[in-house]
Amino acid sequence: MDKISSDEELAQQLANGREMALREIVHRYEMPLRNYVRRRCFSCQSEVDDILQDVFLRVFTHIREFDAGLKFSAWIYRITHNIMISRIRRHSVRGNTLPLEPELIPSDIFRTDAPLESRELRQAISDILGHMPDKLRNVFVLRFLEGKDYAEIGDILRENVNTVATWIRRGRASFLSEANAMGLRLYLED
Amino acid sequence: MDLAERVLQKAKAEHIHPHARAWFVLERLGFALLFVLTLLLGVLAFGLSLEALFPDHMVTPPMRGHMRMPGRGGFVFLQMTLGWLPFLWLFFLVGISGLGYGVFRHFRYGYRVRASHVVSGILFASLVLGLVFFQTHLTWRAHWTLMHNVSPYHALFEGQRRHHWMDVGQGRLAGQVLRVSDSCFQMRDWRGRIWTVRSPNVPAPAESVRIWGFPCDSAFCAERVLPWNSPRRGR
Repeated sequence: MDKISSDEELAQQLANGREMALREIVHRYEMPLRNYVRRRCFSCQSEVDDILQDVFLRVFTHIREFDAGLKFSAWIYRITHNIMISRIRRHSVRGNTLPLEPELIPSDIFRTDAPLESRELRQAISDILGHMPDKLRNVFVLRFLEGKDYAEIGDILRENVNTVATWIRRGRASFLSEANAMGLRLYLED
Repeated sequence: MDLAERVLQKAKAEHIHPHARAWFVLERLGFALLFVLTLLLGVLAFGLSLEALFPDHMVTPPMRGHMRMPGRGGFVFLQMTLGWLPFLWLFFLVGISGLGYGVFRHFRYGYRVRASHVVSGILFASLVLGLVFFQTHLTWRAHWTLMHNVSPYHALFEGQRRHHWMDVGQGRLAGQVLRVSDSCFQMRDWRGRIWTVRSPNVPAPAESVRIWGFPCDSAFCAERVLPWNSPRRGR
């Protein structure tokens, strides 16, 4: 396996029947997707492994649907998002929500005047995220925790980029107002 | 066992293979067809609203007291419903545009286009094609089919159509043939008046007809006689 193959080239190889390409894709995306699932789906924490297995199985079965005009990362995040959404719908009935682990929140993107330890800050952010509406938390996680750009978020969520921009603006406002309500003055770089 | 190994093992154990490219092409083709279908419904909706507004290419007469449904006295209800019908088709058209957008989003990059652009595009295409269909009498066929297969639709338009064909001053007459002879026949119009019609073509007795012609002496001279239930529209 060529180490410097791009994601798109790996997808092409997998589509041509080279199973080794799947190993490389899993190697590259297992950790980012694991973190994404844990950040995004509070009620899926105990099923992350199952979700990832479903994701890569779907990558395997749908690889010939992948369109080279799209970034591979957007495509695989879209698959993950869709699988998560179906899990969330199931969990909304069962309702076994777990809080987000503070380690999954990068502290460098948030600034605060309050004298808080990094761990306390991340715990506070985790609480705020837990209070955000689902749709806004969705774009908030992709933009601020995953660091995706607007166009890629649009491709992941299958939404127009202007709609994404609106949701991000609302998500940011919702996050900051929730922080204010908790007496925490946060600054968030966009 | 690592995740990649587990995925491949599961795929092998359950005989899961990558889907063929043709499957995805077919899926996209299905959505394209569905989109064309919604567009066609939009075109029909606008064309039918024009048919309701301009029956037989003629502006709907203003509310007149004698515009009654055959055998019924509820003409006010009829007029109100007829007045609303074009708008109902237009509401239907708006609904169809929303549906069209839902389908359009399933195109490869359909979601990247703004909803307002897609919906206005569908509306514009429906208006232009609907006008073309109306002018080329294609929506008239749909209107006719509805009239003869959907009884509430028939009830709405039959009275209006009879009214339209009872205008002797404009050279239109319609009714049921009573008796025929060599070059003329007797008929009862939809208001019950008896007419003698001179015509080179004589219809069969008991047939319902509509006639283009002109009043002559004490009779009506026909230029053209057509069956009442024929889909050919006015001249």
